[in-house]
Amino acid sequence: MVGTMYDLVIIGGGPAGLAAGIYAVRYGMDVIVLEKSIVQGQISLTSVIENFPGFPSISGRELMQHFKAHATAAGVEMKAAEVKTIKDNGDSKTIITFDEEIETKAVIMATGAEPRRLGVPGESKYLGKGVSYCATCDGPFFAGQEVIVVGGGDSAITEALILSNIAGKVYVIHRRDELRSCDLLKKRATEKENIEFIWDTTLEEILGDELVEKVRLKNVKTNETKEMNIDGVFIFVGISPRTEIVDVEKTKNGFIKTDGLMQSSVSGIFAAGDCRETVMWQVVTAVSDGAVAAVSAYKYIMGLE
Amino acid sequence: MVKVTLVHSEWCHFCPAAKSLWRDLKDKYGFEYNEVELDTPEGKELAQKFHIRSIPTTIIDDEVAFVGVPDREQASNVVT
Repeated sequence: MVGTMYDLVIIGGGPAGLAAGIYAVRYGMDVIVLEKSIVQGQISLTSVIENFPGFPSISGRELMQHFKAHATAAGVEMKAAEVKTIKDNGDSKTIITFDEEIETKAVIMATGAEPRRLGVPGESKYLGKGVSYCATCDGPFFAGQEVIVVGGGDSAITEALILSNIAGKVYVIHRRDELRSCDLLKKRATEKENIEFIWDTTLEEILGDELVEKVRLKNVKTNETKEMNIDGVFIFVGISPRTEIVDVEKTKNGFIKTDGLMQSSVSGIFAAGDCRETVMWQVVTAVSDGAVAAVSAYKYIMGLE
Repeated sequence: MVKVTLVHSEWCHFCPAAKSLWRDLKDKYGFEYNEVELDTPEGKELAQKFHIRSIPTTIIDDEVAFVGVPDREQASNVVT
């Protein structure tokens, strides 16, 4: 079924998508935000955010509720829909969802990202059997037990800190000899008695029977490997963008390449937030991307008329 | 007809999305569907029986079918 022609369809209702929606409405555009789940954005899964101005400490879910309330009050139309693909017809685009086809002049991809897999043997086999990408969701299964956290960035250390309040012992495995995370998180983690760092080490394999029982670790300096008994493995090694629905130029990891105006390699298709190639993937940068993308889309549409 | 059981909990941020998906598919295709809170005797029994260490977990006909929020297409294929 083909319906109305929108000025702009925003795919994704996380911080980038909703910021774009708010700006688009203010520019008088006929806009709709499509979001596939009712919990919007990867940010909703973040336990605590301490670097979004105006909110010294807030949960991702709560911050997202503020964004959603703001977007609703501003008059942004939102709809639950899962997009299968985007067809470029030149001056218009067709958004093909599982239930309908939506015509629009411009599109903003704000589809976000998901946790990146490490790609080691046992990771898929033990997903949900001791391997996890979310400390808040799955941490309570490991009360009093021993877990490892893989990664050395802000996400890994934030999640290690959450786990340290639940698990008996948290080992942080990092391939380098110092953390990439910000100083504040580093300090908190090093002060925690039940967090221990294992430096210059990579996770090579996850082993077990029904559940995870041990891991095989490798010291990248000495090439020595050793097995270690463990109950849970939490992996935080970056993000993988959700960009398979659109055919535009991307990096080898799938991030959409854009210019400073958030314009992708295809005219009228813009990208904002975690799905875009950029220098940092944060709420504050996603919001900024969304605003720029909406204004760029507005100028693009004006140019079509 | 398949029997779908979603094990979920209050603290899990992915769970509302999984609930929404299964409720939607249930309305569309009509199958037996239950939601079980992990922190209940039934939830704990399922967690033990199926070695659940992550939620949401979807059990279909006595087997763990999905861990996390299922992909809509895959989930539709299983129940149709």
